[in-house]
Formats: sequence, C-alpha cells, structure tokens
Amino acid sequence: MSKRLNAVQQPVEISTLVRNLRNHKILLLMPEGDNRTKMEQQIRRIGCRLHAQWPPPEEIDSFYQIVILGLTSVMENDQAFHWDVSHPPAALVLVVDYENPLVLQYSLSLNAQAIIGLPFHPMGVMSNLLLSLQEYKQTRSMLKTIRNLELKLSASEHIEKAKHFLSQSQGISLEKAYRAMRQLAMERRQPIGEMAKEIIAERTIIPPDNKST
Amino acid sequence: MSNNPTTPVGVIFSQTGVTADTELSMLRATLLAIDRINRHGGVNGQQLAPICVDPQSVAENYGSLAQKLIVEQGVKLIFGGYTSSSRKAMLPVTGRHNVLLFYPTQYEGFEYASNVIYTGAAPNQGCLQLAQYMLSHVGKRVWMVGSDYIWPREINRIMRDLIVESNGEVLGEEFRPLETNEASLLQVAKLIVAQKPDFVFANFVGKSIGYFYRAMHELTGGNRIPIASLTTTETEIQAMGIEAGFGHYTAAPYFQSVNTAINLELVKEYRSLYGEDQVTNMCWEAAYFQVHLAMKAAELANSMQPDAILEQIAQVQHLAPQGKVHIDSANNHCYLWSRIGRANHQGQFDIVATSIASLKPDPYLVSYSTATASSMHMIETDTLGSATSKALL
Repeated sequence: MSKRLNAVQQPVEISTLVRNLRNHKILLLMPEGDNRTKMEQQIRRIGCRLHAQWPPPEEIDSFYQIVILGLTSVMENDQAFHWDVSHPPAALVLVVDYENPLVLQYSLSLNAQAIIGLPFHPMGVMSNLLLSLQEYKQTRSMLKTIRNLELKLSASEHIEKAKHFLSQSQGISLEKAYRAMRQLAMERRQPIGEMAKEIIAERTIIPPDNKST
Repeated sequence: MSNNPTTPVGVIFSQTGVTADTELSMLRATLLAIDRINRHGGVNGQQLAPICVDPQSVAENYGSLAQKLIVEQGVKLIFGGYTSSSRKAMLPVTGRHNVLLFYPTQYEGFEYASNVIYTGAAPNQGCLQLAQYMLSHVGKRVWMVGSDYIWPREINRIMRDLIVESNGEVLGEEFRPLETNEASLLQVAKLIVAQKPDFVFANFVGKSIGYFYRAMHELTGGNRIPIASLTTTETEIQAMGIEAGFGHYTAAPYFQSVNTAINLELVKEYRSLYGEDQVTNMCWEAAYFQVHLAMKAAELANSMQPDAILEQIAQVQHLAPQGKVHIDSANNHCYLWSRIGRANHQGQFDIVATSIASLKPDPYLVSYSTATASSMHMIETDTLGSATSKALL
C-alpha cells in the first residue's frame, strides 16, 4: 500500500496523528437517543475525551478541539447554534440524517470540515475526526501564514517608501538609505517595517553621521 | 438425537488453499466445542447443527459463502474467518443481515462492528509485548517482512513505530504476495542475512511461513537470526519441520504448552479424535472458546437470536485453555492473556514471558506511550516454567 501510494509514505507521522487524536477533547451536540449513544460509544472506543450535551451552548468552550453537531436536529428543532465562521473555535463535524439542498446550504455556510451521515455506522467516525482536525489545523496555519505574508508585504511597502523618502531628502543612494534604516532599526530593536512606517509618518530624517556598517 | 430441535450455525474456515493448515485446526476446534456442548444437552434445549463450508483460502468466498449460509440455510450465527481480508469480506454481509459473527484471529485492530465479536488478540495484547520483549532482550536492529495484505502491513506499521520509539533501527522491509513461492522467500532471506539484523519481525501467513523459516534455517544454520512473529504457531512449525522453527519467538494468548488443567484435558481429547500427531495453536484455542462464550450468552438470554446473544455476551466468562476470558462490552473484543513463547526442540513453545492477568482489549491503541502500565507488565519465566517475576518495563 505505502509502496503504491507515495502520499502516505510517512508511517511515523500518521501514527503520531492517530495517537494524538486521543489527546483531543470533543464536544458532542446531539439530542439524546440511539444515534448519540452510539456516537459516544464509538468516540470512547477510539479513546477521545468527550462531553455530550443538548441543546448547543451559547458559546463553545475553547477546551474543545472538535465539535460534532447534529445539524438536522438543530434545523428541525429550530435550535440556536452560534458559530463564528471567520474564527471557528474548533473543527466542526456535522451529523445529518439526509442531504437535501437546505442541509447542504447550512453545511457550507457553517464551513464544516466533515459530515457524518445517519443511520450511525462506526466505520468512518475516526477518519472524519482525523480529517476535520487536520483540515482545521491546516486552515488555521494557512491563515496565519497569509497574515504574516500580508504583514511582510505591507512592511516592504513602507520600507520602499521610506527608502525613497530618505534618499531624496538626504541626497543619498537608495541602498545607503536602506542600510541607514536597517542600522537604526537594529539599534532601537524595532522591526524595520515599523520604523519605516514611522519615518514616513513623521518625516524623520536619519542623521548622516549614523553610518551603516 | 434426530428428534431434537436443532439450530443451524455457520462455520467458515478454509479446508484447502494457502491458509488451510491453521484454518483446518480452527474448524476442528469449533466442531469440538459444538460437540461438547451438544453432548451436554445443547443450548436452550436445542442441538447445534454446524454447517461447514470451505472458502478455499480465497477472501471473496468468505463473503459469498456467508451470504449463502444466511439466505439459504437461515443461519444467524457464524463462526469463522482467519485473514483480515476474509473478515472484511464477511462484514458487509453479516452487517446487512444482522447476523452475529465470531472471529477468532489476532488482527490489526481499528475496527468495531456491532455484530462482530473479536476473540483473537488486538495489537495491545501481543504486538506491543512482543516488540518490548525483543527490543529489550534481543536487539534493536530489525528487519521486517510479511505477506502483502492488510494485516501484515498494518502490524508492521505499528511495529515500526514501536522500534522508532525505542530508538531501534529498521534495516529493511519486504512484503510478498500471499500466494508466493520458495524462491521468492529465499531471495528475501538472503537480503536479510546479508545485513545481519538482531532479529526479524516476520508476519507471513499460510505457506509462506514455512518457506521463509526454512530459507533462513538453510542460510544461517546454527548461527540463526531470531525471528519474532504473531502468526507462527505450533501448526506452522510442525509443517515446516521442527528444526527450522527452533529458537524463534511468537507472541500469543495461548500456546499448546500452557499448563492449565482444561488445556491438558482438551489437547488429549483433540488428539484422540484427530490423531496423536495433532498440535494445537492460538487460533485453534480462540475458535474453541468463542463457541462456548456464544452459547453461554445464548443460554443466559434464553434465545439463539443475534441481538439477544449480543446483549448478554459481555455478561458471561469462560475458563478457556489460556485462562479466564470474557468480552469487553465497550468494544466487542476479548480480554486475553499475553504470552511470549520460544520454539523448542519438540516444536512446542517454551513460554518465556506472560502477563499477570488477562489484558483489556484496546483495538484503537497504537503505542507504548498510551499503553497502560499493567498491560505491559510481563512476568518472565525460564524454560522450566518457574516465574522470576521480573517486569519487562
């Protein structure tokens, strides 16, 4: 198998994932009944810590890494479910009885990572927990990367502007302007992007004696 | 007895093909248990009528034969299956018809089906202990081999992690098809011998076991490289020749050499029925005791219906040849003993380590770090059988 599927040729990593799954806390939001009982039992079999409750709470405790929500139960009982889609507090797995367009619309708007269909079947629960967690973590780390890139990009814009300002106002080369800025930023222990921003805002002039090395 | 009401039960073990050696012993163990129960008056006033079919060591046949037994013979209980592929072939069929399946083989874990009772060892009841024993007693440079299907691949994956966790080293890994030949396994053996590992973790199934052990024996002679396995039983050693099996290790809940009164009695009866040359093995034992567990639950439920039996299955226990066993209601797997044996000059296993109690099954367990300390507490025994009470961990 691993010979044929190069993508999964990372045995240690997959076992880490599977093993770590046990360290995750799961909030199960389904009304009491056979399906919830079976879901609880399977999650405990897998070895995760679990709290089940109904109706859904006003706010999801950050204690949990995965939330499993009985979506059709929410819809049918007209329950409130508060979920911050732009900053989801946990991975979201939906449990549904059917998949009509309305259910799909809710699933998409909640930005769920996985969907488990009823009637309950034990096979698939572990995969969906793992996939949703991975997807959630990856999305989070991607958002973080994007945020960092945005910051970097904006910093580099400021640096560019400040460079030109210094070069023109002090009659030095762009390279020299940059080195002067970097030197000062190091001395002040300040990110160069921030300093560039200040230079532009306050029209600061770096004294010519502040030589770069 | 022809006037007594009977209940048909399905028995699916291969009598022909690559895995027939072990499966024939499982078939006979099942029939022995059924016969014993019938001799004592049956269950709920019913005699058990086994219907045995031969899937010929072909995985898909287990599924189609199960279907046939259910639809044509009205079977509601099935005892059978050996390889994981054979179990996976039966699962959708027994699930669809809500038929109760008793599966008596060690397997790779990560499974739960509400209508399957698993009476063989999960990885936390043998694989973990074997890895621990070999890595601390024999060495840390390991070669891994096995037949090419679900079970050996998954169990080797688990073993690889355990080796890495223990700062060991995997020198190489090879898989060969279930239906392979001696030349192919001789080639694998040559690769291994050239690298002189401390031990080989081998999970071949069927005829490959004999091919491999014999090849290793021929290549290394007296300077043997120890082989550790979860599949090589007394039956395979008898088939390959006692000398080829000598000195190698196997982990199992049961060995024929287990010194319990019920085991001695049962082995004696088994041999009187099938011949004095017969040996027993871990699969034989599970195939035997699982019938008793099933029927004790049926008696308690006063019913032969799968749901009724399922409801009671965790309430009963049985004094099996390996010791007392019972089913864990949380996961349908069995509390089992863990033992490590080293093959001796009689083709039997000297038990070198044994658990202090039956171990709770944890089919979703993957590593030492999540194993409970008690499940890893083994008592080492010398070849004379006296406990030295030295914990492995």
